[in-house]
Amino acid sequence: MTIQKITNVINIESTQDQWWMLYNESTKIVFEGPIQCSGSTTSPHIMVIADTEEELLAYIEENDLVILPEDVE
Amino acid sequence: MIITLTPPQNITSIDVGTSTPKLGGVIDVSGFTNLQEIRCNGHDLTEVKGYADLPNIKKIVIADNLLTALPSLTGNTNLTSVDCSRNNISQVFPDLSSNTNLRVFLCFRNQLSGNVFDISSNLNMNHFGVGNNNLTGTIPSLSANTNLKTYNVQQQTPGLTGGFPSIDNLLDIDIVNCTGNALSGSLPNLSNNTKLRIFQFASNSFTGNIPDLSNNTQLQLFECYNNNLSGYAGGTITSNLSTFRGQDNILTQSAVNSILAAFVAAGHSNGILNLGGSGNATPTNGNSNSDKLVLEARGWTVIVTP
Repeated sequence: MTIQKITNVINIESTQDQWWMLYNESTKIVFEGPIQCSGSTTSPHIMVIADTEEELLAYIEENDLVILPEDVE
Repeated sequence: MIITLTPPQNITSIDVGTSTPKLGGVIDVSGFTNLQEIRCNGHDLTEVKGYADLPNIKKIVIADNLLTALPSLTGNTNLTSVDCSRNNISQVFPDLSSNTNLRVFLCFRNQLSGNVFDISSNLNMNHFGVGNNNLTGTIPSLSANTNLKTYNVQQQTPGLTGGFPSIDNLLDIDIVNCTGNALSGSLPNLSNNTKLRIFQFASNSFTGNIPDLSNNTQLQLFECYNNNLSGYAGGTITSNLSTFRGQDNILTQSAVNSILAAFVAAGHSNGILNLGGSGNATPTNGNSNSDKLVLEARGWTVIVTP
């Protein structure tokens, strides 16, 4: 079980197997993820990388983060 | 507990409001011959019945209960709005062809089955949402539904098939969402949809190009991730577009470069541009791509294939 919190997000590489998300430290809003998506990420926000989605969901709860639904019903 | 209202023919609107504990059991509105509206959302009701043939009823709001079936609506010819979302309704879609005044039909998160139905008779339909059901088959033509503002058929199990119909005639469309199906073919032309704000076509099997978005000046969210898209038709991108998710496609380097350049030209700050994932090409010069660096300097979050 590994969770990385990255505050200086410059060309951070993630693999297809990892789960990650980005959130705004001020608003506590998760605006990307949790997703599995390989790539190189640069962002002014906080990136959290974990092995499983459950780890990220636990992190969200422990840190009072908020996921805003983008699907309109 | 049985609550009886008399004389029922004098009642035009029923709203059961909220209560703790929630209401359970059955609500029967038969006899309320002049009923125009029933609102009993957010309880534990197992059945709401008796409205099937009430000719004057216009609005039925029965979302967030424990309903397992929806009565026939064919007799409710004045019906304008139905919201039965988030119940346990497991049946074939009701026939709405006689509900020609219907403007809103929402039935999210149930277990509706059968073909996603034809709404070509519902010319007044503004908001149609049946996401997260078990619908199958192809999406019928939407060319007659010129008043549509939102259309949501996302996340059907096992998934809608075939192409997505033309939306050229939907000049007022604001939101269209078909994410999480088995749709194929090209993404629709969007050049007429100048009011489009949210476009969600992710996790299907679409091929070809990401369309020209030059005319979509209201666009805020564009999602086409997890398809088989290979190109970008070009054109300008509105500065309103702050979230673009195109990861997990097979975009060529030329397409990736062009998308990055279009966002630079739009001049917007602080958005999300995801072109990463498996399959997409690396932009020219990788992480040192000049357009990528410009966007990052403007506060964008940018994800690319390294």
